[in-house]
Amino acid sequence: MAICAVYTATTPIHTTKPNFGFHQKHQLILYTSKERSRRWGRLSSNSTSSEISCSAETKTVVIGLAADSGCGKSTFMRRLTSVFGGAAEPPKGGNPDSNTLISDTTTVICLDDYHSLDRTGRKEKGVTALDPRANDFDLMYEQVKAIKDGVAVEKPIYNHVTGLLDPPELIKPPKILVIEGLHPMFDSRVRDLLDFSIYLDISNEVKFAWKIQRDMAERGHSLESIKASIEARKPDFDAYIDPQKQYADAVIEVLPTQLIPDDNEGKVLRVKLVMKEGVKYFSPVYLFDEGSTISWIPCGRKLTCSYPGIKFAYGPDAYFGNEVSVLEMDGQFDRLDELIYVESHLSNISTKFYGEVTQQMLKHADFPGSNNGTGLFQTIVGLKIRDLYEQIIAEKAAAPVEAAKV
Amino acid sequence: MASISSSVSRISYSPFPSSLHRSRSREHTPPHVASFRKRSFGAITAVAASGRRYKGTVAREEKLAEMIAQKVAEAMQVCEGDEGKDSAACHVAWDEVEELSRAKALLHRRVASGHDPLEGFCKENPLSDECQLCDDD
Repeated sequence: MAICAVYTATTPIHTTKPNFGFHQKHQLILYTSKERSRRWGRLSSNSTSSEISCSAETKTVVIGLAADSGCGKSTFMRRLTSVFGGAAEPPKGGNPDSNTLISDTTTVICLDDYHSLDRTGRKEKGVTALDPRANDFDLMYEQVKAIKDGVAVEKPIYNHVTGLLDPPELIKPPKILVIEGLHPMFDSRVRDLLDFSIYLDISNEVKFAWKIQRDMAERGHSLESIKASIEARKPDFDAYIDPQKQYADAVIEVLPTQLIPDDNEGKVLRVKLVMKEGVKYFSPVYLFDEGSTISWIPCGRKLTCSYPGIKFAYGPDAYFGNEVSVLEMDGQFDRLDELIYVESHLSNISTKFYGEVTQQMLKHADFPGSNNGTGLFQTIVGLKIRDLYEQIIAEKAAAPVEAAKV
Repeated sequence: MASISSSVSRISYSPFPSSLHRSRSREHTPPHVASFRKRSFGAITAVAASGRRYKGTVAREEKLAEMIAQKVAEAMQVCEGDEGKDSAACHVAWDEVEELSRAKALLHRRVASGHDPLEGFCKENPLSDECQLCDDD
């Protein structure tokens, strides 16, 4: 149902609904004030302003991302929010240890905020953060549902520095809500709220290589301690986190490269994008001929690549009993023309213009994974999510809108 | 950072210690800081440009580093022997190490990219003890 109203005032105007520049259908704002609307769209103007507002009721689209990389690592999140436009940042003026990221269109919340036990509590009970017993799934379900229905919530904050649960922060319903953490698909009620879900599956060898890069410079750490840490967390990880893979609409698997024999640096990666078939609003990416099996090395006469080169594979498969399509990239991009060449041969990537994937990758050339499949597939998944979002919105905006004139 | 609007310029700042002005070294300005420097003034730009950090942030990074070293030692101890290795206490101990390692890496990354978590707080309370600037060794 569309609601239209005209506001004309010489006193400050406050809109109650968040006002985003991105794809806001049926909303027309005219104002003469020089003051730009602030992030949450409240027009504070002291000059004459008129607002014509006709908004179709839009529900929040919810995306789940399962990853054992901690919140705020967010290379994925930064790419995703960049696809929608804008940069996601921690909420200003709140708790400096907040895990939440907010951009104009997207809010990313960290599921660690739903820990029912703080660090001391977990130690006493003998449970790791991976254990469902350390998490309040009832609250998680309640709040995600509320946000999806357009109701703001006071979400707790789990402070990773102190290990304590801090006073809550207000989360207003955004256009897109991303819930990121260890258990987005663990609870079936929460799973049903997700419009799309992604699982980031890092293989043990790559995990080890990355943790070495991250922790070796630390005073307390050594190769043994890093190895022991991964091994000690493995039983809980395998029992509680890994099984969520089967529910994901897309899985990004990161494996060591097959192009360099015995490589253990973890710098060159083989990345697989496993896409579930038959998901509403989601059409899997493919190479050349949908549903066939392809093996493709783009380097040759038309494209020169440096060592170790690039290799692609595509084909149908079965994944935990689901029909999937798998697109795989092994190797690294060295130059811009390699990237654009590859992009021009991929189909169903939901770009709005030729070269959009390349442009997004270049925009964030400093992000980790920008020269390999992780960056490429994260960017593509971001575009697919944008496409999914637009399809959902288009479906909802069925009612005709009456606009009032000033 | 880009969302700091021109209204920031209207906030009146209390006088800063003179060391703050000395610290604005242009040659270290990363590009993304230089672009919004035209619009916003004060401690934030100076900190990001000079590579110095707030005292509060330095203290936190130190504390995390200390805790990591301590928890690693604890975990090594708890996990001794075959029995120790499979115990719940061992798993929890290493999970704590992982949590702290992550928190430190994230803090480091945020500071390096110019998003010091104390930025917001220090904008409102520039004279607070935590908001004094430290030289990076």
